[in-house]
Amino acid sequence: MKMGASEGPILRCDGVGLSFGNVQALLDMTFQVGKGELVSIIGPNGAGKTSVINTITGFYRAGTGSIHFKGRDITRLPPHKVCRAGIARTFQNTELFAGLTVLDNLLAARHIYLRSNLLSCALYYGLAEQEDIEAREVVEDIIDLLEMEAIRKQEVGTLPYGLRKRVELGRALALEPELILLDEPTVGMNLEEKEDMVRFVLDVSEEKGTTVVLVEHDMEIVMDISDRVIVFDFGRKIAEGMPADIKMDARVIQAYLGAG
Amino acid sequence: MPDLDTYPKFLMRNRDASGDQVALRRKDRGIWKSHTWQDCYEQVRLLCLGLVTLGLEPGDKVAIIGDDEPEGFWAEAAIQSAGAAVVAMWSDSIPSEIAYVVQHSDARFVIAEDQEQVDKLLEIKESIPAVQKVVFWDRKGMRRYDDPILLGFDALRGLGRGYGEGHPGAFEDLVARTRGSGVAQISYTSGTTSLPKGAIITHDAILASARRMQETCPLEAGEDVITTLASASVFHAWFAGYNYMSRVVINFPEEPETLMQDIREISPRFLLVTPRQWESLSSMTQTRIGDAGFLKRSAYALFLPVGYEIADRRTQGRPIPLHWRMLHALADLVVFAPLRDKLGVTRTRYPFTGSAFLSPDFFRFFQAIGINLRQIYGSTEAGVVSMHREAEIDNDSVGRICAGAEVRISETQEILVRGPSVFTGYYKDPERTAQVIRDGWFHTGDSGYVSERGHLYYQDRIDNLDELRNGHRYAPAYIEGKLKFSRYIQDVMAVGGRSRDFLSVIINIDFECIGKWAEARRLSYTTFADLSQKEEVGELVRRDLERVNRVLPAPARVQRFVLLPKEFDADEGELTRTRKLKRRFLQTRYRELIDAIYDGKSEVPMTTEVRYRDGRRGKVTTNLEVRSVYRAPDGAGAALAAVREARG
Repeated sequence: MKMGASEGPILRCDGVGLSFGNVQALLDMTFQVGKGELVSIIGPNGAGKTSVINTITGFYRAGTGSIHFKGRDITRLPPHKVCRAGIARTFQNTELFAGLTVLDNLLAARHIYLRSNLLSCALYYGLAEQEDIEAREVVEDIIDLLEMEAIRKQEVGTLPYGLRKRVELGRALALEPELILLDEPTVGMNLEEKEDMVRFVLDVSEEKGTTVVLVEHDMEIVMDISDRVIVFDFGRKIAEGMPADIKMDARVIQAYLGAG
Repeated sequence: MPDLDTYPKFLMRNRDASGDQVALRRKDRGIWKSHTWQDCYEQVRLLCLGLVTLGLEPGDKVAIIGDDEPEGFWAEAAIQSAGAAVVAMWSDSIPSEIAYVVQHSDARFVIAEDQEQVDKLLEIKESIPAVQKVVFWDRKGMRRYDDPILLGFDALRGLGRGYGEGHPGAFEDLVARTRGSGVAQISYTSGTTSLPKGAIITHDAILASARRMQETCPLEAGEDVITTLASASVFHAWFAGYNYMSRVVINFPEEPETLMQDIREISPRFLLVTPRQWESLSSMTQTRIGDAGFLKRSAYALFLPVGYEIADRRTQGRPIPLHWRMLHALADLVVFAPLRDKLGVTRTRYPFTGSAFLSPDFFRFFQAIGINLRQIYGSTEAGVVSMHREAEIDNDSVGRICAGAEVRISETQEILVRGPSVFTGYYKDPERTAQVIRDGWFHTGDSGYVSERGHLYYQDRIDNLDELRNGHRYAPAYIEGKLKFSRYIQDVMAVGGRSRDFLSVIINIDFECIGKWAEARRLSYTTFADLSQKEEVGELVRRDLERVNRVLPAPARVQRFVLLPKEFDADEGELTRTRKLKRRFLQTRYRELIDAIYDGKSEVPMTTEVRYRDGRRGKVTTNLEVRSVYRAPDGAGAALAAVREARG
């Protein structure tokens, strides 16, 4: 069991509702994530998994309810402020600069930490130089963690899909988030790529102590690595618990198999 | 001044003489970071004393497993400084192999790189009870491991620091006590058919091999080399001599996967990579050229044949006319020099390949772009035996026999080696030691011969040899390989055996290449079959055979040959799918042809079944010329006469 879980929730969603016209994407969504936990969100297609990530990160605006991160209300914050607050995410379809190298993609993600002004940047003097070195150090740590040394200077556009997903994870880590939301990081991967990705997610959780919320379709992965699992169906939370309990839960089986 | 007979003693000398000079460099976080001799000394000292604190005694064994990184390099020196022996293991060994080696070598400690290796060791913990500690150097992923057998590098260094404070001069005393005759390393060779054997190698043996390398290919202090082979390979220990003895800067790549990029950044003076890696460099070049723009592609296509022409003339010892020289200078400026830069060999003086055969095509390719690959011949047991010096590179030999290495060819054509570089024996296995070391000579199991120039020629493993009636043993695959160096020969099968007195070959011509050659000479031809029987083509191939014969020992020279009117075909069962000859089948299939060669006939009809495009089958009969390599009735003629006489 992870230690941090007792320190109180890092993320709290209270009765969050989201609708697009008449479609109710999320309904009275209430759940918490403890510090240092690795929580998976599962559910059939259209259950609202990606919607909840988009709502937390400010891409969507919750209609009702509130979202608190480290005790602070972030319900109405725009995406870039959520990011500064310490929440990073990856996308189902990778969102990277295809023409930039892996290194530059990760460095670009660090811009939220830059404080130096235009002049000192232009002269590469003082704060600018110091920040640049700091940024490179952080990024090199991530390259080491995700074993991307060999592709450091390659353009992202030339990389195979599995590696681009890894770079995407690296880009999110470059923000040095306390909470990272991973939207289907293994989708479309072959078995070997999946195993690699799972190992990296575990490393992020264990080595860096980052809190992880994972949206994932592969049940084997979910049951293997999660501390806790939350199940969505039609925009509602229908179950929550330890992986072993979730496997046995009648509502979950029904939602997945449609059996009466 | 004590005798410098172990690497740790050299380490002390270098630290005293040039402590602030760079000893090694590693790429970390994308940046090359330097370590001075003082740094290295300090690292080795702390690790050594740390191990001593844990109870390491002279004569003990310590196993190391991991990728090639400075920590492992320092650990090796630390173990040897304490008078103990290094048991080098391959980083991709599976747990059961590790268990066997650790158990068999009586290792008391294991030094492991990272989580991956530690996991393997923990899995087999029960079967290696003699191991007191497993020390790891990469902390990544190790946070939650709490097995008491584990110890981090920092903790080990901490122990060493404490011991050093309590016992000043302890490290220096230990190093002074090391002896060249002591065991430096036990190298386990992977047995394909049996359990691995642990070759015991003394400091003297390692230093002897290292000296041979440095005498043949001298480098100066401060020049750069890069480690390319796994630390478990014995070559690594010889290579370290450049560092310890000549103070050449040794560079460690960031990860095994980044090796090729790191080579380019360093452009090492001495570069040994495996044939497979040379092959991948070559195919990488072709792919990159294929992706390049129109201009670059055209320049490459235009100038590569110039490179080939020059390379061929050089290997065949033909003169190079002035206009070819000028063209080549231009080609080098425009294409080859930039290519060599991309491959990272701009500053490489000694490009080497070893350990297995590199196919002729690749040799030719690298020669064409100005990389004269040299060969090194040696083994864990024998040490470095021969290497190519400058200006005497040829594709046929595996180099000149190094000073200090005694080589003898046995009656069965086995290469025997004697001298200080030879190993002591297999650990705890006197029986197998006695099988290979007899009367002081190490029996390599390789067959070969030595030329008058003192060059060693490797043919094949002794088990793959065939024998002629006169008792001479020859290596069919070797002779075929040599012949395939020729551009005009696509495939070839050597024929001989116990019932015959001389060797012959059946050849597939390279239709495309000879076709072009014929066109250039306005020689008209219709089909493959027609072209193959042309008098001029026969003469062309004959000259090639004559050239190859010059490097073969006299009794193994090819006397007669036939050019087949068709290619060997995998669909007809003549080749395997990977284009290897199916000898037995071919021998039966071409029975008549082979008999005709040895009956001294000059022509033989051959009927081949052909399948036309529309599905019909037909038979085509061609009269094949049976040709002799030497026109005058010398070797072949005499042999033939002898055959006729014998038959009455």
